[in-house]
Amino acid sequence: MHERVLIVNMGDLVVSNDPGEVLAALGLGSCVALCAYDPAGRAGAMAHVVLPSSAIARPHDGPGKFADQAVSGLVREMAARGSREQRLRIALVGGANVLKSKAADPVMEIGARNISAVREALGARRLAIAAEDVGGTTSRTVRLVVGTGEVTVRTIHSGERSLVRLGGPG
Amino acid sequence: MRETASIGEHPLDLLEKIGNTGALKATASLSALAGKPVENSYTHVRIVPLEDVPNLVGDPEQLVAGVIFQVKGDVAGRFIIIFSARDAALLIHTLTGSAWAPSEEPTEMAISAISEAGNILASSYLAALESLAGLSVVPSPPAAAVDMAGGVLTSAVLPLHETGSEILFIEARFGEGARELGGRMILLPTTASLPRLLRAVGTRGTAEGAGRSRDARLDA
Repeated sequence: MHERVLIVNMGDLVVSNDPGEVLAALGLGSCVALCAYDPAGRAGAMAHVVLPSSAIARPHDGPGKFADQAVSGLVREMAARGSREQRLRIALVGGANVLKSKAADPVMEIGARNISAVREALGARRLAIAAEDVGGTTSRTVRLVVGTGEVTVRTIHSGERSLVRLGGPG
Repeated sequence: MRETASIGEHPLDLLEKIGNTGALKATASLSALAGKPVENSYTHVRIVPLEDVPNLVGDPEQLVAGVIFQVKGDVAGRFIIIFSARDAALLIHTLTGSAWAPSEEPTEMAISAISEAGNILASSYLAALESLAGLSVVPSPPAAAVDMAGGVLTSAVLPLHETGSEILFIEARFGEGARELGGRMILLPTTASLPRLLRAVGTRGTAEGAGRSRDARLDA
């Protein structure tokens, strides 16, 4: 099958129910790809989260940019396409600390803060995380195949591997 | 939060001259360190939405070696050096005598060689900025990464998300010849630093670096 790749840029939130489409976030460092899938409706969504808190948000910031807004935006967008919140299966990828530095720099903790902010926002809605590949020191490319709910992760030195099939049983 | 004047309202050609001067000094130092000719190609200034940062050097998935400095003092922001995988391998081989294949994870020694080259470039570039504009500019110790360009670049510019939605990108590319050592040096001043930087450069003049950068050849 010919697949069409939709790139999910920083701060974007993209939803699709076209089985020929793949959602992809390329070269994530401290950013987190929040993936959701509705197996019954075969719809998927990906938010490219950049920062933990929308306290510094500006009007033109994308709906996926901040962890807190990304979770509620994702649930809302999926619901608008008929995917009920209780059916959503979630995967998290990213939040690495890519830069190796001897100097202390609070900025370097941003990956970890992004992960905990997303987990907290999901927890507040009782949304469980089916699979995750987070933290570490390596950038990742994430793909969500809309037809199957498969989430793949690619890194420079480990190549591409399947993380989870959100459309499968379980 | 206070918004400063839009970046586009500033005279950007002045910044290009600053970039040229800094880049000339920096590549001369790198050339001396590596014992190889390094040719300056050009400096250009762009205004980029933060969302486009992962694509600043092309494909965000490509492997690069990056050295990142926080910059403090009269000018605040980030200074970033990016080497392609090919240039990083050349640099590592030149400085350590060991070969590095981009398919392998780099050793500690390889990372320090990259950091050292970054240090030399950054300190010469910023020293030129100091003597040209009379500004005090202090780089932090380097942070280095050999990884996908998107991850390296976004990590480097994260603090700038809190000061505006666009960044000013002063990029000098050097050594693009097939057998040369090449790379990119990128100065990202914060929006708040811009007026001071421009005022300093405007009053002190930029004759030293202007007009030479395009074909200056710096042999060790």
